[in-house]
Amino acid sequence: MPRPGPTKEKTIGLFLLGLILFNPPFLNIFNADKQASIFDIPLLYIYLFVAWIVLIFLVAVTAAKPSASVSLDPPIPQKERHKGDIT
Amino acid sequence: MLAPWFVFFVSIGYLCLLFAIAYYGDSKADRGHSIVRNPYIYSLSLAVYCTSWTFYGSVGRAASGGVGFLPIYLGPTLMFTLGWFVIRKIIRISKTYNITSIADFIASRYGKSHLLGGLVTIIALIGIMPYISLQLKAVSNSYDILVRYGGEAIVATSASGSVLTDTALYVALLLAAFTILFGTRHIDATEQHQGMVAAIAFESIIKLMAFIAVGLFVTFTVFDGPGDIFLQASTRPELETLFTMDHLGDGQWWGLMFLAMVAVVCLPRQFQVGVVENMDENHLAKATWLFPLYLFAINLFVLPIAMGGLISFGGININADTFVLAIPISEGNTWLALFAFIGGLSAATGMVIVATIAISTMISNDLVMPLLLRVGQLHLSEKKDLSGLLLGIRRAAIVFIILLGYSYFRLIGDSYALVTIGLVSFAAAAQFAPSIFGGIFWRGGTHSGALIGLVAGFIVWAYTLMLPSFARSGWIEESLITMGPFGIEILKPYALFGLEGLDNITHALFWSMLVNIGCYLFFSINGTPSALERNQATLFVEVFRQRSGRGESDVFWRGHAAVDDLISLAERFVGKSRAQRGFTAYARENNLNLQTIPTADADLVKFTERLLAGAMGGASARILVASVVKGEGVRVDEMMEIVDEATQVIEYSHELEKAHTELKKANEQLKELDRMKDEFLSTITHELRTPLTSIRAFTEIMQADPNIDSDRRQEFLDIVVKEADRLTRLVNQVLDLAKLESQRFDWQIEAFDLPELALDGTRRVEQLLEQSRIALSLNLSPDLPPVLGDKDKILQVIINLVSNAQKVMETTGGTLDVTVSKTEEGALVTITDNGPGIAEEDKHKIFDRFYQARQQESGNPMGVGLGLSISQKIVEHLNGRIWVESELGVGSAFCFTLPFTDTK
Repeated sequence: MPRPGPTKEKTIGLFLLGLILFNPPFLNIFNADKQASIFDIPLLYIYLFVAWIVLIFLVAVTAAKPSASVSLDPPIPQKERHKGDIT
Repeated sequence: MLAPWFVFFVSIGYLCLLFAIAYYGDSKADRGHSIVRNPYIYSLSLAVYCTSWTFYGSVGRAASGGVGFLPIYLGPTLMFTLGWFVIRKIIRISKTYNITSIADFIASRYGKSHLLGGLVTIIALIGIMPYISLQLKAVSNSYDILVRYGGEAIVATSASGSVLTDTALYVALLLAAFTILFGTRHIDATEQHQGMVAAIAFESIIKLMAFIAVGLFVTFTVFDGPGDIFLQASTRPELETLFTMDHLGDGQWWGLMFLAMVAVVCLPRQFQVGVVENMDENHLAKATWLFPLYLFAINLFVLPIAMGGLISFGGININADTFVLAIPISEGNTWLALFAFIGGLSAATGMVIVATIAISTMISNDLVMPLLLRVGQLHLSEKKDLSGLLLGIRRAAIVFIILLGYSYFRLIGDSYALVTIGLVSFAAAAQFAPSIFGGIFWRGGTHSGALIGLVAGFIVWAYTLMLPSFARSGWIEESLITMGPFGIEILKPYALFGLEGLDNITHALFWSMLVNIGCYLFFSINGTPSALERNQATLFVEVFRQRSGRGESDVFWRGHAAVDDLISLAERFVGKSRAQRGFTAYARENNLNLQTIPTADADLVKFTERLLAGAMGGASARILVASVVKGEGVRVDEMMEIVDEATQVIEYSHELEKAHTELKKANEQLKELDRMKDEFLSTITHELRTPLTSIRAFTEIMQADPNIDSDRRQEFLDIVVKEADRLTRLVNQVLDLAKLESQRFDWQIEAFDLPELALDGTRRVEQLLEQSRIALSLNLSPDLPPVLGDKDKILQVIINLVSNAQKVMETTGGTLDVTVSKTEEGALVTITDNGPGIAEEDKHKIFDRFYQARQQESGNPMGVGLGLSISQKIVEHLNGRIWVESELGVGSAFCFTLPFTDTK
């Protein structure tokens, strides 16, 4: 398969990272101390949103350079062919 | 408080604005300037995921469950981290095979099955019904609140009262009208709706802005920043649970996360915007983080608004689903409330429009058309335009879907919160997940696996979620939930087989997925897929390896169809102009003239199938094309079942290898031929130049000196004539050779007596032999049967061989022996000399063109080296054999055979 490895592996890596970050039991760490808060905002809330935006950021960084995988894949002549006429 | 007519006109105005945007987008697209062809619009259109469930329901969910609403948005984020890997594959498959909907996708994957397509359509239709009712409920509730709410508690009354005074009915009808305008405006029934995508993207901006505006207002105007809200909330003991996730079971959290993860691909509307409407798969690269970013942004203020609402409204009984509207109204900010209402309207209309368009496409392509085709009501033999029929079916389907959603809404009423209703639909959509994801990564998934898995999963879903919702609304006995059907406790829909401790959704998800995936795997592994299924499986799983284009391997269209039939078929279903454009472009791209070729090859047939698939789905397109493909048509099964997949693959690779070596050999041959051609040209030029030079030299002498004595003149003239002779011979031989090689020789095949011919040939050179003091001995077998061949050509061969022998012995003298005898092969002619002989390594070269010419630098000027080459070609053409036996210093024997008339 002509698809390059890095993107696929990074993709799966980020997915697994997200799976761990967003789910119990890891999530329970931030649920343990009910009183914990930062700027009066509960720690659990802060954690979820921060982890979320960090993951999005990492995905963005990875996605910023998919050029290799784009060029290595065969083109889609059918799609190109149809673009003007059928789609 | 706003006047109802005012709210009504603002809503209508907003919908008209949307329509204007869609119209603009479509007209731009028609002129080839797409305004939606960029990753930002694509990402925004994906945000159709956020419906009024998100807009109103998230706050409601947060008000009762804290962070419990988040998995619905974290799930898609996770799925999109895998997007470049998973979703891109789905997009690539759909683009390559012109797939128009999720039903089409699943049907195509599992052998272009009508049964599966129809099943998926029905599941989608029933599954999405609660979701549409949710939108209707949200819009009519928000409208009621906006025009009636004055600050005190109200209870939304939408489901009560008569149908005619029900706001939701009018909302439904209005939405149906607009959806028809959006989705089926085109005369030609195509699968992409650029205008709609533009409008959806615009709606996504509006709903995000509206929600953030309310969020900022609540957080910073009503309260003093988020810290203030949470601090106040933390002082209220009744809100304490919202700060933790203790009340959310781990199972529920995981379940919702999984549900949302698959729903973001498997929901018909997400498939529509994410896959079908995708203009370029590279847009997905940006969407993998832009869409999650949108989800992040729209969820940022959910908790503050929920907490703020709970604090502000204290003990008053206000449905938390309405906080987004109720807070601005109670704070007296009517305009913000109106903006929020418009935002909610955006969220609802976006969902309803896309979902109904997607499902109506499925109903027409995968349910109604196949049925019509099957019962033969389309009169395929009559030539009439059927694209109008397609549009008609879709329009009727849109009205039907929305009214179905409305009836569910009337039925269920207020028994559920928004989010719960939506999750029922999510669970239905999740039933597609095993077939889709299994189908694109696992070649072993089969039709029966997918079919049984889907049916089983759907039945469990209906039993554990749909049926109880009817029971709760009092439509059927409530005892079904509490006691189980007929009092059988073990079958209680919310605690099937005694499984308790999970919420309804997770419970249903667990059981339905268990049977769905279980059946899918079991029947896939234990079943034998048909050839077509195997082919489709490979095409889907290995989509990135396909290089589509002309000559693409499709073993399934072996028959031939008339080009006219194909074109008229396409015209009737996709409209005349579009069909014409499609075929013109195809012809241009492949350098074909469709007017001149009467029958279409497999590739053109396949192109037509794809063209039709774009309008009406793969399964139907296949049947239609099969109706005009004549002769062998689809002979898939009989053809393929003979060979098992494995042996087939091996055979395939062998064939490939063989083809490769053959090609390599052919290439080498071509190179060799090319080299020989060059050599031939240079030799022949050389050969022509020698006599020409000498002719020119002697004529010039005679021209320059008119007083040359007559003897010398005679001598010179003799030389000129001789050289001219040689030139003529050479040119004749070259012409002969050229004719022989290009197979344009005029052969006169007849039976004749070979010894007689040999005698004749030898006599013609007798004089020459005598001059060279060569003794001739003839051994001609007297009663030889006649041979088959061209008399003149064979005579030429004999003269050639004899004069060659004469040449090699010209100076030395010797004996020439001509023998004609009988062998098993036929008649054998042997011409033996006792000249110098031929070296072993030269024996096979001697028949090459100009071989002798290369050897004879100082030798005999008469030969040009084409004679043997010509002789060889003649003899071989006449099914004979020619060769030489020779020993250096002893002599050579040239032999050739010719078949008798009675030998085969």
